[in-house]
Amino acid sequence: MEACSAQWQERLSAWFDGEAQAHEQQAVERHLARCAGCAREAARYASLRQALKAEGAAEARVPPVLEERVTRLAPRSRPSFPRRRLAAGLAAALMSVGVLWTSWPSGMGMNEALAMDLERHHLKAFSRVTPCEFESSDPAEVKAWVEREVGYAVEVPVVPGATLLGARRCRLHGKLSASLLYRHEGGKAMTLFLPLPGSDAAREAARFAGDGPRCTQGPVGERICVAPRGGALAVSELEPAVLLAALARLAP
Amino acid sequence: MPVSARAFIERALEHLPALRRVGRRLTGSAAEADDLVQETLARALEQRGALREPARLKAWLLAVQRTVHLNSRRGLRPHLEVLEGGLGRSPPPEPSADLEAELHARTLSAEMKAALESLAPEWRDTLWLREVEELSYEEIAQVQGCPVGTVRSRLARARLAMLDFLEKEKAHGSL
Repeated sequence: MEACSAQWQERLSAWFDGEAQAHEQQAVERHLARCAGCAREAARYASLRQALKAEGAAEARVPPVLEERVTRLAPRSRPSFPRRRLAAGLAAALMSVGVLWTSWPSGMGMNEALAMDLERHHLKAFSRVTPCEFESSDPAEVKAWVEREVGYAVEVPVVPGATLLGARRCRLHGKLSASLLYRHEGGKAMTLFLPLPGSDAAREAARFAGDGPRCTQGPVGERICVAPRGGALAVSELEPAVLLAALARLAP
Repeated sequence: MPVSARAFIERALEHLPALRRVGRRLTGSAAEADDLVQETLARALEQRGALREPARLKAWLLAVQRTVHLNSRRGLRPHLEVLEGGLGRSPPPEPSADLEAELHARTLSAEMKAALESLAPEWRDTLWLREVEELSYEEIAQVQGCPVGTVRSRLARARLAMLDFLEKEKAHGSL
């Protein structure tokens, strides 16, 4: 039985995919007219394609829970007025109460990798059905879990108007860090990140904050606020004043 | 200016089946594939400003997925999703009663599954991206980070190897 020669295999395969160049396409078609082996091979390619497509079609279903997890990655829509005006208004309002606002991106802004990691951890945690690794609304229990699992002591504040959901571990600048998860009235999520004092993330946060509390908006659009000392950070779509109020519950 | 996060995710949702199918081939597990898809879309959302050709969103997402997967395997970047099973413990095993996995195993015929598994991973992925995900050679090259000529060559070899395998299995009457 005449077989398709190795010389023609690659050209035939590219022709079959519609990826052969014009001159090559003509050459393959001339060859096919006189080579039974290659014609047979092209027919086998078509059968293989059909069989693989059938395999793929059997895997077309996406579980609703995955779709929901992905949908939650996008922050809910905000008021429709221009972001620049919003940022300017927000900055003015915050300045009046002694809080510095930094628009994103900015040369004097937060370290980009840190901002991305903060947003990602926050959004990923709250995109899950159970956001916390450890669930409890008891600050003492959450504190004990964090000390055991993360390896350092943290303060777990009671935040007025918010429910403590529990805690998760995360990595900031490559170091294991604690995060506390809260849900505010109205369902809005907030994460307090408490990196180990003296760690790169804590130092970076403190550098960003400078002498006073400071807020910015991350690349995805969540708000990030930093307490002036200690390097604690709050992330949420909530207004900065709410984030700062939560951070203020931590001892200076 | 990049599209809004919401609009981007809505467009990306169309490609969830493809990301999930390819994710399963990369990770070998339904649960890990779903985590990989979520991580991929979180990363893509941040980097959406780098998407030059919106018409090629699918290939771009698959390229991001491959990078996220390779980075997690190589340990170049710390796992962003920390350790579901606790520090120092091995990852939790795939649930044996995973209905979806069972359905998958049933639908992917034993014959085709064995033939695909007989291929070198790069060949298998190239063939899958072409035949099932319907990417062009250029898009596959973007996903796999290799020249278009390599894609062309891998496809020809993968087809030949797979057809030979199926032919031999048929001749031996083992299926």
